[in-house]
Amino acid sequence: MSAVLSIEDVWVRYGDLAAVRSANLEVQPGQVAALIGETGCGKSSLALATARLLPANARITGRIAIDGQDIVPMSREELQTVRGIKVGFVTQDAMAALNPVLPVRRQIGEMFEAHRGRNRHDAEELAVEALRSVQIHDPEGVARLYPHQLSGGMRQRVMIAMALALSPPLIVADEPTTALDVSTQAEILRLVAALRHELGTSILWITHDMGVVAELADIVAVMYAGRIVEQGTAEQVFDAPRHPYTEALLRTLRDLRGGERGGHMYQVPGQPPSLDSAITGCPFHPRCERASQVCTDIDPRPEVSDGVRVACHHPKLPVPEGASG
Amino acid sequence: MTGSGSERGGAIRRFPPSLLVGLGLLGLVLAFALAAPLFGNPTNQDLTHGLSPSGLPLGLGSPGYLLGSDPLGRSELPRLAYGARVSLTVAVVSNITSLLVGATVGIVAGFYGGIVEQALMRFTDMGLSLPTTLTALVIAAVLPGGMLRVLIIITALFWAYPARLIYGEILRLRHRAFVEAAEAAGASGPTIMRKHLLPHLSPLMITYFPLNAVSAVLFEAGISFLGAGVNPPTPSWGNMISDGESAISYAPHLLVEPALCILVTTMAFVLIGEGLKVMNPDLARVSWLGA
Amino acid sequence: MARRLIVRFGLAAVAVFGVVVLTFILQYVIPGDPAKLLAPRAPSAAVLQSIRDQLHLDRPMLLQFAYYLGGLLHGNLGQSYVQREPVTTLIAQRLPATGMLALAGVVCEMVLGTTLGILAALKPSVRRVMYGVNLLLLSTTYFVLGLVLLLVFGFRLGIAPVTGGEGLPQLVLPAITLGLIGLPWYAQIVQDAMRDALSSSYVRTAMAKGLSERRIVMGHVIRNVLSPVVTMTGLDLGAYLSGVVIVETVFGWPGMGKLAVDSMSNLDRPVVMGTVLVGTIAVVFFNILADFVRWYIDPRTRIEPA
Repeated sequence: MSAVLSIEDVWVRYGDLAAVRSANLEVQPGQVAALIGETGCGKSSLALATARLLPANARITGRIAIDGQDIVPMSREELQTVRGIKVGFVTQDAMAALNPVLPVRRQIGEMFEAHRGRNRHDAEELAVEALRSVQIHDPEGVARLYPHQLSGGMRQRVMIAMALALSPPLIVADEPTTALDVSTQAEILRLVAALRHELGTSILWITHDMGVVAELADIVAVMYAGRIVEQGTAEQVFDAPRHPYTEALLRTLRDLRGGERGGHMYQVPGQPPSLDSAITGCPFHPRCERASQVCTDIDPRPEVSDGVRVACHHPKLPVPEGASG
Repeated sequence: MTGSGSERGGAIRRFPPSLLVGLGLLGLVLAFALAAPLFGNPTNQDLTHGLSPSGLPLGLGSPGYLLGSDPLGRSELPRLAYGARVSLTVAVVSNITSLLVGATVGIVAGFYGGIVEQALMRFTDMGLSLPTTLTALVIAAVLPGGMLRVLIIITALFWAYPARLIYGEILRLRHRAFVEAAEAAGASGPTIMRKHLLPHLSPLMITYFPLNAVSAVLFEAGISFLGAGVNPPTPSWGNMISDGESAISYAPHLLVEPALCILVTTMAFVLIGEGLKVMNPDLARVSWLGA
Repeated sequence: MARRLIVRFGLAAVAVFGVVVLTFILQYVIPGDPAKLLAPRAPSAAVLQSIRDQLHLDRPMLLQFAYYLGGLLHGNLGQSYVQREPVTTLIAQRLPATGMLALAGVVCEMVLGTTLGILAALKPSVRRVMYGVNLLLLSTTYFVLGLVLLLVFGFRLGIAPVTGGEGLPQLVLPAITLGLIGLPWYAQIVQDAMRDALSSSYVRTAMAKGLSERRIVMGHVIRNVLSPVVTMTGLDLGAYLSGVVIVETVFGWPGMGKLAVDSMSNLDRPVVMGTVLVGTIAVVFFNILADFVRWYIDPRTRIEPA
């Protein structure tokens, strides 16, 4: 079975700075892949790269194949056959991402006009159906509205409907729930879970909040300083994290969730390195409890064992089955 | 927001070229205006030496009339220089007065709100609806010609736009924390307006100043051209063009010279405005050129 | 929507009323005795008195204002001192000419300005040239540019008419003058709006939807650009009308503006008042129109102000 999304040795550079270094990731049909990391770790750059939506001064090297086709060398016209059709994009700030002067039905409808050759009237009817499919209760009413008249959660549903309109095999969602309040977040997550079930769409979900994707994700990739430092199935990464950064993130999450430590929340000490700092060795070593001399000198290459890919000199290997209770 | 301390210091260290060129041009015009008495008498009509044998104005480079003469035998050079005085006075004085009136209206309306706000804003609407040239003509008819008339007309017609601009700013600033804090501390209205609101308005007013200067200079030229501003024999670039209008087909310098003077002066202010905008990008909404 | 209309009209009416009061007061300060000006040659005292009675010139000011208002509401703007005709007739005769010129000028400035603004936003070479062009055009004014164009194209090159008149050939230079002076304002607004739109999140979304560049520019960008253009047009009107007045005078275009200026020199008070009033009403009216066009184009402005 060929992967829906295949990212091979992808670098994203802005001038001399590398925002993404040698990223490797595969998403199979029907899988949900979570890409997790702090702000500035390069996850957004990688997400935008998958649809070639980076600004003009960005350079992508490597191979990004959507449904088998490498999009990196594609021209603008060729990309128009991929975007929207093979990959749908959902962004964070729907208020800014939707055109303020067009009603919702036009914004969704134009996808049918442009790609399926429908006329305006049919396209707008299909738009209403698309809205219905994202569990909006009054799709005809909402279709007539303008973005500023909708609530944040509703706008996000509209964006999802727009991304799913042509039933693409892959959705890339860049922090889709970050700007929403907690209960709306939960709603959207439920919606996405249901849709994924129904449609079998693959999703690449980018977020800084592990908790959000914990339930949903099949595979998890953790990013730090432009590198994917740990990658595996959700069980592997959440239950037995190998990279110290992953461990630290999970600890923060548990503290947030549990709240039983009496107000003493774990924070990963230090700051992630900025894009232009000259890092030698492992980028995490200044903040790492397990760092040694080799960590300062050599940037660890990712190594795979048991299906988990980890870039660390001192990965914490899981205790073999049956060894402890 | 507008930078503090080090940000401002950094900006001052790199003045944009537009600002420098603008200030340079303005300096030239100022020098020209100040040197006016050196160039001779602007009102001296010499129908024998000042005109050609056939009675036509002298052209560029004629001996004794470096920039030519006008149909009444007056030398253009001193006239242009004294005209520079008119334009510069207008650019500064009427600019300041209209800004002051407008700012006062805008601040009072925005700050006090209620019926004062409504009344002042209706008044401002009126000011904005007046057709400027026509109203200038009407006001001109009742006042004796000269600089004072020009200053009054420009102040009366130009206060409304800055009033509206500043009113808008005050509305945005009114509910900011520092105003509420000052009110809570018991500061009086005028004090708050003076000590807290005014400093925040300064960047806006400073950036609007050159824009207003351009409008004022061009407007004065226009109404002097129509005879409703500075009247002959006092030269203004506008009335000089009017004097020479009938002769422009055979004596184009009568049009071109004052026109170039106007161009250089206004361009100076436009460039200064552009430069200030570059230094203070959040004020780009009062800008014009798009580099 | 109806409420908004009423409020808008109400505000406009207040502004117009204010101008009416102002023009009435100004009548008092303009020199010249109306009775003498209106009377036939060598009038007798009795004739002068009867004219005074007709114009209610001896009555208290407030009463005169009442008559004036009454007259206005009946569409009576008084009688020209110079031409022995009702002011309304004179203005009505000239209005079409001014309308034609104003329209031609607006079309010029909007078409030229918008096109250049769009091009400047899309191509850096155009942008550099536009900086210089805008700088030059912003530094000049209607009568200067008009006379220069007249000199070059009329007198030197002989391809434009140099005498006044109302025909199409005579329309060209004045309309171009109006258009060129207004051009940089539109070009700048459009360029800024294009720049904002092109780098906006929603254009990126449109790209993410796989839409063609043409569809993105036409369907998404242009609509967002139109809104500030309409706002600009609305704000521009007062200054524009002034420009029309001056351009008519310079080129001898027989419109309302030229009528006003000529009447000024003739001390023909009622005509001047009439033109100021009509001008104000026009500005107010077109402002409201611009508001409603923008209301239609940009749904964000439909939210009632708090």
